[in-house]
Amino acid sequence: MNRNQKISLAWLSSAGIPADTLQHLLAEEPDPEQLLARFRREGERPFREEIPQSALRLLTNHAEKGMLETWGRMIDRFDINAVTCTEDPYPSRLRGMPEAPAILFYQGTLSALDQPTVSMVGSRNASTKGTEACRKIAEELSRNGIAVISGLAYGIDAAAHQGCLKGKSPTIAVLGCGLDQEYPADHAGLRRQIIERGGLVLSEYTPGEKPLGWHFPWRNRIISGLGDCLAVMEARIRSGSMTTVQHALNQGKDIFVYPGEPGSLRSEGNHQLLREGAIYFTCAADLMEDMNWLDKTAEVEQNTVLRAEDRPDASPAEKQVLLALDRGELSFDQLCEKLNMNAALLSATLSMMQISGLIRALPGKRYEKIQG
Amino acid sequence: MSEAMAQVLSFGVSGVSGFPVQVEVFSTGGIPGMEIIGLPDASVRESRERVNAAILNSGREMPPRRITINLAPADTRKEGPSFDLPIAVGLLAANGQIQLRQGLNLSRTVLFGELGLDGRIQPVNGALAIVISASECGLTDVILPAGNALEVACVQGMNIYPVHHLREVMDHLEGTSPIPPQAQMSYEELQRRRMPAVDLSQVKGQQGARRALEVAAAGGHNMLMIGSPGSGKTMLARCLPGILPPLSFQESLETTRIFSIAGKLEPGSGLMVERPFCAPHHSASVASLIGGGANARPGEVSLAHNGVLFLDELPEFNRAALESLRQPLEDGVVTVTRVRHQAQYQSSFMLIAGMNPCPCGYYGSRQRECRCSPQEIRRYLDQVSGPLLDRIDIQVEVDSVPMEEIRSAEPAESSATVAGRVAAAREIQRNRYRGTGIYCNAQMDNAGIRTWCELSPEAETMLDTAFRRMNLSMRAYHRVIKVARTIADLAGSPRIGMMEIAEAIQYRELDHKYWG
Repeated sequence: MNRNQKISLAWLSSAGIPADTLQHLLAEEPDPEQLLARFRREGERPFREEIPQSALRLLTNHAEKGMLETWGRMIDRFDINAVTCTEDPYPSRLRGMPEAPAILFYQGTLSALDQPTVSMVGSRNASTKGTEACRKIAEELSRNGIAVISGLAYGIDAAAHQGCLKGKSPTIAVLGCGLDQEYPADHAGLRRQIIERGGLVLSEYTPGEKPLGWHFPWRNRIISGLGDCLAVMEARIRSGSMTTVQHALNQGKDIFVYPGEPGSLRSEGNHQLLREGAIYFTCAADLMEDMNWLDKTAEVEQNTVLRAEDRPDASPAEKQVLLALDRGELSFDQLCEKLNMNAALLSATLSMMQISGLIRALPGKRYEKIQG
Repeated sequence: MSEAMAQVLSFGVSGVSGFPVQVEVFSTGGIPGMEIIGLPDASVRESRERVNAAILNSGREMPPRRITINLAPADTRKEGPSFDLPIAVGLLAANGQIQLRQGLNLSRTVLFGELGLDGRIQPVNGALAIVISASECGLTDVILPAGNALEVACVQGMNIYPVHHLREVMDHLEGTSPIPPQAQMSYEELQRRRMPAVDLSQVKGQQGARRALEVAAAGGHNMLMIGSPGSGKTMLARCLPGILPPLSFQESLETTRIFSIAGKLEPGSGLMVERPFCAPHHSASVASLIGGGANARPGEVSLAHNGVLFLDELPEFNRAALESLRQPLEDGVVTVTRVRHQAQYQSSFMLIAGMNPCPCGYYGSRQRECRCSPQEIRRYLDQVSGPLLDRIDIQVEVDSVPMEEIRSAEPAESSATVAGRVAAAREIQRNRYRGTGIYCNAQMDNAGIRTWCELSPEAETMLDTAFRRMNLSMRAYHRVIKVARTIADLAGSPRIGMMEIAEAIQYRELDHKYWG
């Protein structure tokens, strides 16, 4: 697709024309540049029947040179590509999906979607445990050749992308704003990594479109639509993740739910979904087994739990700590009491173990073993 | 008798020191009345009425004469009710109402005190500052309110005559029943009566935080405690004065003097033997922390001189108020300047700060779930400025102890045991820094670190690895070494080893966790 075509698509997508109308238009005339040329030549006449008045006005306003040039500059600067539903590279999973976007803008490569995919969703304000689990599962999936799709937000989204990047598969981010927007600003680095590692960042919004609140629940249908199944990591009852689940159900996807902590507000949604019959999973292998993906890879590569005896180089104090942490995280005081070790020695030991990568410090002066 | 004149010596207070004031009383015939001149403030001017009533109620008369009272030097402002007593004595002398006993020299005897209408004498602020200044002027005899007597009991070489009533003063001056001078008290005796307000043995669990507190006390390091509400940050901070080395006599004089001026001394208390613990609320203004007001009063930083300044809820403090702490933290002294007054107050204190890990307070807590988003947490932590954090060597997380652990825990170490170890470590430091002008590890600058902090080769390698692996900031580097020096001093070892560095790294929580 050439530059002018991309600019024409930006123009076409900017007026808020309903997706099915756009599909008709593009089915009649697949070349957007021709559509723009015709609009300029013949005015509104060829479009009149289908398009609402307000959208026509916007199309007229946006067809002026300055506006088109702005889009041109954004497309060059941010290396934005576009694809329409009439073209071949358009993601096959979105074909036939209700309310599928007719035009998609993207950075990176669409071939990132040419493998099994899992959409992972969850709270922006997630627990440490939840984000850690998400990172771990995404990494396992990625190692087994499965791409992870999420929304580049804080919390679970970021963990899903980061986990996937640790493995070998590409990861896909679906944004709720134009691709020129740096949102969230903190994730500029993560976004760059996603693209560098053969991944994909896509959006149905025209470049220049701001990250408005209502964009996000709406773009969630693309997140669930692009995945072969949906994995819910941590969801409150009223949350964006639960709207994604609704979309996924409408699209006929399987819903996998990670069991959260009972009684925690953060995973109330998880438990509701599990009661309603969602599929329970705690690791990548669970999910792959139920999706019948196991035959694709000879053996599931899993993280193994590190045991104290696997560390012959550890000092006696370090071995004691590893042993105590075998059954999960402990706080400094609990360790102190359990091991009957004085605070000075324990402090020093914990530092050394953090440095050598045996344990990790959690907020609240708690410590846990690093897996694998 | 037509004209008469009397002179009495008293002292005023400016900043932390007293200055001599001559109270001159001139009595003459003419239209009866009384005028006080020499820049008196309202409370001094009102003393006219108190003195009048007190004299009548002490069985003497006020003849109807024209009286002028001058407080010299006439160009310095005089404030407070402490001139009541010298004015009353001056009046009595000028009107011939008392016959001074032979050999008594009123110009060599310092008098001050507030009078009640019935003639009773009330304690005043700044008594210690006055007595010390008087002693520096070579004066030895002081007549002062009995309520101020204990506070000055330790000043060497003074004859202190504590008085309760104006009648006692008159009897003493006339020689009918002289008051014996107060027995001098030794500072050591006062100190033996010392009782820490909160003992460390009352703190259950909290092994990590206790240890951090010990290290902070041993090296004089400022400390930041991060923990959920109710995790015991305030309790731990309150224990600190009890494990610091006892106040020396000099330190006690300095601190008591500031308390005396600020009027914060408990009535009837003597020299302070306990290190002060000041915990201003987070709504505190710059003036209340640093000092100020029309007459440049000392602020919390000076009240905490030689003691502990505890700022709970650090991020809630006004930004300007926190920034104003930087200079006293650096110099140990503040200069408060106002239009009419300028005063310099000592302010060398240990800063202990407390804060929640996030706006709701439960980030990382085992008790309750945190509801804050990562951005909210970052915004909250960013309230505390980098420059202030730069002056805090130890940052430690305080674990919130569940109820069942509090009950089951065996009795913990007492303050006295910990204080012993701290004193030993301080002794090592005093010997090391003899003649350099500093006295504890926290005061070491970067040149000092190169001179006094020898790291073993393993320790050096480990520090470098730690900085790479744990993303510690560069500003943390020197702090880790300083704290490691203190840990080595506590262990009595001259060289800093691997274990010391490893432990010191644990006291940089904010660097490698919250502050990303």
